Amino acid sequence: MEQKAVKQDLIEVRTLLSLPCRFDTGPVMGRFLRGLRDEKKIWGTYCENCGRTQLPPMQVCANCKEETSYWVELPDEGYLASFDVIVIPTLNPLTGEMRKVPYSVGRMVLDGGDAMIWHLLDETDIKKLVFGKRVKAVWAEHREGRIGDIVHFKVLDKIDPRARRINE
Amino acid sequence: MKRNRNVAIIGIGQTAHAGHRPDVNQVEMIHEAVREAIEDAGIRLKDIDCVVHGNMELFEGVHQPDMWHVIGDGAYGKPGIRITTGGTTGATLVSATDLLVASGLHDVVMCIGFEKQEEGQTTTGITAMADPIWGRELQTGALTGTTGAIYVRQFGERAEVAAAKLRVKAGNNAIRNRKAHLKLKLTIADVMNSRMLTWPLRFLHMCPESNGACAIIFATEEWAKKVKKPVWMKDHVTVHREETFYWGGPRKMQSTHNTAALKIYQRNGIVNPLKEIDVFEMYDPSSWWELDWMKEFLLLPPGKNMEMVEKGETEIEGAFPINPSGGVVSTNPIGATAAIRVAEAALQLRGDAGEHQVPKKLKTALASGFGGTMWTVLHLLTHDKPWIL
Repeated sequence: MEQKAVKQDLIEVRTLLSLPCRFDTGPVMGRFLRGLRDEKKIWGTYCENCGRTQLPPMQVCANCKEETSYWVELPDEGYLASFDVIVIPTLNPLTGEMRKVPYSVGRMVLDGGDAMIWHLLDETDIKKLVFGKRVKAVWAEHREGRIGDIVHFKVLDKIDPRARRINE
Repeated sequence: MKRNRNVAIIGIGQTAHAGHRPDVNQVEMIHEAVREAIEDAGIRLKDIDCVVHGNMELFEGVHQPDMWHVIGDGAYGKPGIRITTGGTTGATLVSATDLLVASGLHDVVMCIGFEKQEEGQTTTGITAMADPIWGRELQTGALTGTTGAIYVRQFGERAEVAAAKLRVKAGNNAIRNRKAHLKLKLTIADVMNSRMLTWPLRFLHMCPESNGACAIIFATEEWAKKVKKPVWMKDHVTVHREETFYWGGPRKMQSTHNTAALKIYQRNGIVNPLKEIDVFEMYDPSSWWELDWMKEFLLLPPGKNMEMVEKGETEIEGAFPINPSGGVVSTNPIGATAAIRVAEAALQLRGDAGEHQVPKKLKTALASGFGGTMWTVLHLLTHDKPWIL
């Protein structure tokens, strides 16, 4: 049987897939999120073997594939290592709504080590977003143990002298 | 490394990839690629022992589409495996299929990668791939300008022109490829003036959302004897490191591309990839990444990639052709995309690429796959039988 494709037979069926999810953090990520919620503190896991501090924290060092050694409290400021300014609107799968643009995300090196955190930035002007700019966390009034407990990182008008260029 | 058996690619099939395919459903679409692969191999569907199937489930939101697709791919009653490793799906399909034949478990195995992207929400699907507790809030599909930003910082406008030149090349190559989706005749100015997505990544730098499928049939030496032009799988390697994503910090990280390349070259005695590899089908989600990843895959000294692009050396007629097919920026049915790299590399080695055939003697081809979570697959293909067993 051959069915010729005629226009009136080519029907488009529209559906909406919505998946309510509830993710368990486990004790390590849970400790980190409790730090954000109850203490306004950022806790990372430190590996004595390679000296790396990991954020978000993990029980196993991603470099060494061995158990990390202990928790370290990290300052909520540092410098900007890379960033993206997104100007195209896309759907946020967490809410089902379109994201407001422009918005920007960055990877920040926190002071006192090599721990990096990935979060939103408050600046979307690429002239002001320079690698190595100092950044500081802005905390939410109401915190509930999730990423939004830090609203974003504020980009300060100051370059960190320790900032290293990526391609050097 | 030791192989049990040589493995040949004996059949290749692709749909004509397109942005809209309202004339077929998923089953009918993959069937087009399967039929072409079977005809190309000159075998019958019943000769296939096992079917390996893959795509990104969240793109169309269909769980286990392989069950629905049985009627279109001839998998009924046969052993089958389903693989879904993100952007690398197509490459992992090839690796698994190669292993199924090499191991001696099956003699003839077909892999099928597909995506019907217009049916779902690709960027949402990719965003939902990120870690649910931290990353999803921050990820924007596969869109990132980080690599471009590094190049602009280092080379200024020269980098923007180089990235645009690569996009122009991709369009020119795609025009010569009858299966390609976007066949765009562009100028450098067209690319540099196209809409900004995430600075300095622009609309024309980025790969499209395509509908299409790719089927490849792998077989033993005995089966390969019955085929006019088999090409051979020499080696493959997979590297992934999503948990150590550590971009731009004080700690240096070796890229998964670089790690994979060093490993496959060392295992196969390749000292100078630019001389010893004849054609490279690279998974290039954006022209910025093609520019940067040339350096990572081909072990180039800093700046050499810029020079090669400026001199047009990676064009079809150039000294080191990259993506004669037009690449991923021209054609991107994601679950098939990385398999198309292998299929196109094989067509080049066979001399069957048609108008986009590289006009020289080709003995060795490299094909790469990439997934958003820092995941690299490399395949090394040869014109001549690679292993004496």
